[in-house]
Amino acid sequence: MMLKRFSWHQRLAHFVGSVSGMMLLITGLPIMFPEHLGWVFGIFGGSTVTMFLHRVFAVILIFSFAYFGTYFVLERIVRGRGDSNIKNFGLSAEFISEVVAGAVRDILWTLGLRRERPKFGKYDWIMVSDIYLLPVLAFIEIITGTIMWFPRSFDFVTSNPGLFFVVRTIHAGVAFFLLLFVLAHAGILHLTPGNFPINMSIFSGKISRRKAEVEHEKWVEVAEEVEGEEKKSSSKLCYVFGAITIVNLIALAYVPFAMRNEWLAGLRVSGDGIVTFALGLGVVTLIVYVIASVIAFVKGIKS
Amino acid sequence: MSRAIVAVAFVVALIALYPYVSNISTVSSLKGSYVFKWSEIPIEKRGTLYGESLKTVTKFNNAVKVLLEIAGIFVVILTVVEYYKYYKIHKEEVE
Repeated sequence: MMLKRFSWHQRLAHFVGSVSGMMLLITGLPIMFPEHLGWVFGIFGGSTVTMFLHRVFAVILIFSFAYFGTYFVLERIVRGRGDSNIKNFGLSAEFISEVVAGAVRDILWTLGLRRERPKFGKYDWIMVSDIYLLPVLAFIEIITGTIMWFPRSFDFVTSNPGLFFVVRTIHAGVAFFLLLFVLAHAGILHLTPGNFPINMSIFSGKISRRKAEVEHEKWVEVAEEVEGEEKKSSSKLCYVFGAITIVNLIALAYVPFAMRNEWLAGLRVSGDGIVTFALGLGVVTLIVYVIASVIAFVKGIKS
Repeated sequence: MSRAIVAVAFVVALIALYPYVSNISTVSSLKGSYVFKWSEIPIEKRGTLYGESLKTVTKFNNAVKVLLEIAGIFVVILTVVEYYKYYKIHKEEVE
């Protein structure tokens, strides 16, 4: 028995936003780390082509942000919240305290400090955090990217060119955090036992009732039943890929400690083995995720 | 109603996109005069502005570095905890 988990628009928003976002990281990070990721320019045929592609994917991300942002807000106003547990656009004190309490209880259960796992609605605390954090970070990137794309249109840059470099540091810093975010997000939702090799619910829009009863117990009673077959996966390889992701994240967490403040040149990192390994593995993983997302999206349409 | 929502969202997206698409082929990262240069600032103001810029940039560089250091540690801890959570959920499901 399957349940309808995500609408067509939600699946499309995830696909377009994630692929364009990951391509922006792949084409943009080599500018911040040219010593370690210079090989990426070679893949795309040089730095000029890579930067052109960066702008093309930026346009796709901006389209996705404006289109889906408007669509979801209007849909919520016209149709209400449906089976979602996010009340009042997630802005009420009641909802925020519910999310925080859910997070604390869930972590306590994970650590063995609480007997029963808290029951969640359609979106648990980590999904709610993703839903709100990602658009905020994308918006910061769009604004700072726009200033760098059209610096002469912004008075504060033309009256003081030094501020251009402040904007660049913020853009690069958020991009580096987004690399961590994507790897953690995929590691948690796709590479974990029961989900590996890929959690298809965001691509097919369906989830098995059995899985939903464990992870989103409160939602099951209001969810819509749909046709489809559950595919179980129990490969032990998930532990190998999970370990690789965690090693990669630990190595990436070291990178900011290796950064030096080089005034107007921003934050720079010298040739360091751990940094080269962390960034190289991170970007290769992103390339694999882009390919996997395209394959999964096509499979999701057919299912 | 669904079509009307799609139409409004599409128009908003096209309006938002216009300045970017119309400039996509005219800008190159490595050449062109779109980047504002210090030489365009009057010489009597340049020194003061440069000094102020260095102070501001240094503050932001340091702040971003500290935030990334904290965020990196936080993301590692959260990922390990969440991975273990799914391991526990799966173990209970199988049992």
